Amino acid sequence: MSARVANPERRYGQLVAGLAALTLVVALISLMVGYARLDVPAALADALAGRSTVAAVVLEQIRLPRAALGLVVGFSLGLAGAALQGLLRNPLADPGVIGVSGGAAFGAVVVFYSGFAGVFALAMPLGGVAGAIVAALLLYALVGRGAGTMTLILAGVTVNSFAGALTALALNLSPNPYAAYEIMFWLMGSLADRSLPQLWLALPLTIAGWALLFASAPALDALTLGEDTAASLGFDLGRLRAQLVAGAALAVGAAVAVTGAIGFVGLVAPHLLRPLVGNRPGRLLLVSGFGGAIVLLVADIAVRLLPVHPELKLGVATALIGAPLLYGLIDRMRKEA
Amino acid sequence: MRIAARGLVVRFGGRAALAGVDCDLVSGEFVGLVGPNGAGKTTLLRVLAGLQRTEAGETRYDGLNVAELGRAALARRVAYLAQSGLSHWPLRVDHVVALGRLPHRRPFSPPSAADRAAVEAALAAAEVLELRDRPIGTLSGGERARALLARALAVEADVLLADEPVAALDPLHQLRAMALLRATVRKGAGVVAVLHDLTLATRFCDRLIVLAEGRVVANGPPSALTDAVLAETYGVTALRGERDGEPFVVPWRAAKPNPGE
Amino acid sequence: MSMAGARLQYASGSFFLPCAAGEGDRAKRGEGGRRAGSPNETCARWMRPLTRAKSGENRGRAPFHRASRGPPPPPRGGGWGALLLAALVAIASPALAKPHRVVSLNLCSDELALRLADPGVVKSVTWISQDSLNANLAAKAAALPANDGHVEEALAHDPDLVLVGPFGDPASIALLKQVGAPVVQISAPRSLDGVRREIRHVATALGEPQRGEALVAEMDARLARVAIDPGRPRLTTIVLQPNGFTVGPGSLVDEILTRAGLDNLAARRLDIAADAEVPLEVVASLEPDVLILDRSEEVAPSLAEAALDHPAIQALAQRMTVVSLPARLWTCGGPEIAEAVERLAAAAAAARARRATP
Repeated sequence: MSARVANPERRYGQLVAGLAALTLVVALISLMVGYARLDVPAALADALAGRSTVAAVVLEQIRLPRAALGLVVGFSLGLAGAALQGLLRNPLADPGVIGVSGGAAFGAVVVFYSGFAGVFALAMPLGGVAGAIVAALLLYALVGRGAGTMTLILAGVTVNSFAGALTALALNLSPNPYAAYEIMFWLMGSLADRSLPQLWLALPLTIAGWALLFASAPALDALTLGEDTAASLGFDLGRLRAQLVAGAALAVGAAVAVTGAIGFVGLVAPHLLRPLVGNRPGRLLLVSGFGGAIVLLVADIAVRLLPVHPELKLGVATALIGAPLLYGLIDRMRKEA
Repeated sequence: MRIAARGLVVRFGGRAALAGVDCDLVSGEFVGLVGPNGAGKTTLLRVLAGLQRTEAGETRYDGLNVAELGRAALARRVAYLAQSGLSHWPLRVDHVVALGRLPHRRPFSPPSAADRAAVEAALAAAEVLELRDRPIGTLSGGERARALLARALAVEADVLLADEPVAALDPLHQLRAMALLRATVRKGAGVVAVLHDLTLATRFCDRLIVLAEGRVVANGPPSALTDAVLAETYGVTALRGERDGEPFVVPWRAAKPNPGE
Repeated sequence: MSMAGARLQYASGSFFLPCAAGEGDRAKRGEGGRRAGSPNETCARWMRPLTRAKSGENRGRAPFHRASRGPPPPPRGGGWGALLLAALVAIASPALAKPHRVVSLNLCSDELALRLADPGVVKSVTWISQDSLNANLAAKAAALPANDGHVEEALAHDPDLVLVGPFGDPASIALLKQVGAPVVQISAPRSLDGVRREIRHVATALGEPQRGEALVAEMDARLARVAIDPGRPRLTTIVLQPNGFTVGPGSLVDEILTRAGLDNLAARRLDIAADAEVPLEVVASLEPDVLILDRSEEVAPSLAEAALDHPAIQALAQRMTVVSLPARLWTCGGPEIAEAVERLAAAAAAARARRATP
């Protein structure tokens, strides 16, 4: 009897370890892909020895932030997607689809183009977090409890439209003439030429978000049986909602402030991995994080290898995969209803 | 455990779902909560489970109110089985049942031996052992109801509050489930079940609380379900009987015949 | 507020989006769509004049609402022929007066007009000229009423000459002609010769050909003073602009680099035909001796310009000479180009010195 129960535990452990390893492998591949020919081992040796050769600079200041951010942002998006799906009890919830990423982009844009981020660097990710929180609150106000799919999607469309319009408005109002043309970055996202300082700025908030989201795992499991049952099992639903919104806003908001809004990662990763964890929302969190990291890193590698100039925005690549998936999901849910 | 509720008033919009209800429950007793539709049975059950705020009145668990008792302790000692048997995600039956152990488990530690034993016992008691590997969405209505009942049993609470636990079951499983609940009571727990089937209620319950329009109309052993009470609350007349020491009541006819009948 | 041009590169060629001071919205949309030369021609569009009212027609204050204005303007095309003819006519007719009320609707024509015309002749310039970050003659321009590059604003000053930029909205230009206001359209030069031509062109339109010659001579003299030792191998360079754009071959900036004794790696080593977006990695691995950052001391932030603050560039600054050069020096193909060349040559000399000392 105990062997039968131990096996699923071990399988889960193996799944997590396998995904973690795969994430690392893809991150290493990302380090080796780029526009310039780079002798990575030599560059690594230079960097470790403290020699600031061009190769070391390229590796350390250009490729490393790109790979590291791909990992961190992808993990955040996958994790937040799984958490939001658990909270809303709907497999279509994704920070992009429901407008949280759009809100974060608006928050970041306001802080950056007003010059505030130049004065106080941490304001940038905090702006993203604030925007994400407002979007999430708006969404919750629209959706209320028990998000039926129709309501959820419509609410997401509403929040997204509003956030996108405000972002474009803010960019147009900026005195800098380049600003108006940077909308593509904010709405579709990119990892190109991000820097290590940006990573360090975003990381603390992101990790705080991860902690809040992981802490909600048992509650998400309980929510499977509905709000009443979950409450009867000892979970404070109001606190859970606040915790999940805050955690998702922290993780997604800080990420979007650095890379712009990249959508569909939080939809694709949980969807693909849910069957592997027996559909349990709590276990899906960690697994989905790694899945999101892998998806984003792969997309980023593809974007650099494609012979398209200028470089395709990451959000385009993820949308090309994610939107058809979303279509299929909605279609299936419609047929089952 | 003793649950004592006094003066419960709950309003939804303008309507009073509970208009001043007192009740006492104690472990070792099988209480049936009966009454017509809209009488406030589900509301009362939710108040007792600590899920519903009241406008007036309070509920005490062994003398402590919910705040004093603490949410975690309440979850361990009072189990609630909701009326709608939903599972948002297609979990396996044994994983669903294992959710009942959440109040007893530390957040990120693996299940203990006691947890595993409780799950096995609950699966066996609800007769869903052979369904343990199946995703709950693939079960029939009756099987799902038993699986969810197993989840509630797995809590091993002092009091189980069940909202229409047998409504979806076929006669065999209805009888077995009611017998199971009675056996649970014999082991020392308390069970409060909202029941629509008066026959089952009168056969298996030690005590009946009859609610109508948010008020307690009768409270006592099955014999308290007099003809007068039946006519006043349900508007029906009934056949009565007894077999093997079990009294039963079968609703027979409308109390006021329709014009033209 | 300060403005600089923003440039978006698509696969089929450049697509300019110059600043608003120019010819209103069409200029903003980058009408034209064909490649012009250097990427830094932000507000200035120097093109061969499409049409030019004969300066002989402008007798003092000519009310623009008069219906007929005499013989039709010279035919399109053959710009230089028309220029020559008009110059001869202007010289041969002493009775012809210089324009007294000049309105300029373009940053680069603003600068030339302010330099070449008498004080008080220029009645209005674009608001961009009044911004010292983006304009070279901000102080002079600040004294004048500003315009947004729109036709109505020009007409309000009752001009006898209107200077418009290369991407002038044809409809606006037609409107100006319709009401009888003489229009001179400047073009965007792609070489130093082109710069000289345009200075002379505007000078003639303003009736100050000698001053034009003097300006050209001054510029040439400054250029000549920039000493390059032809024997030495040139230092390599790359220009990095907002959004990661670099300067391609055959443009004005490319020629400026050559004049300063530098070798534009982007033109030579990269497979680009015009200004193009180049990834930071590639810029770094080309290892130029001198890295030129086209940045202005901009106050309002943008991602495009923030790209020039990347830590990789700061790290590279330890290995190569990094020079910041404000765009206003080579935005308009005007005499400031000489200053750009001087600064670049100085940077090259500094780079050489740095190389020499271990």
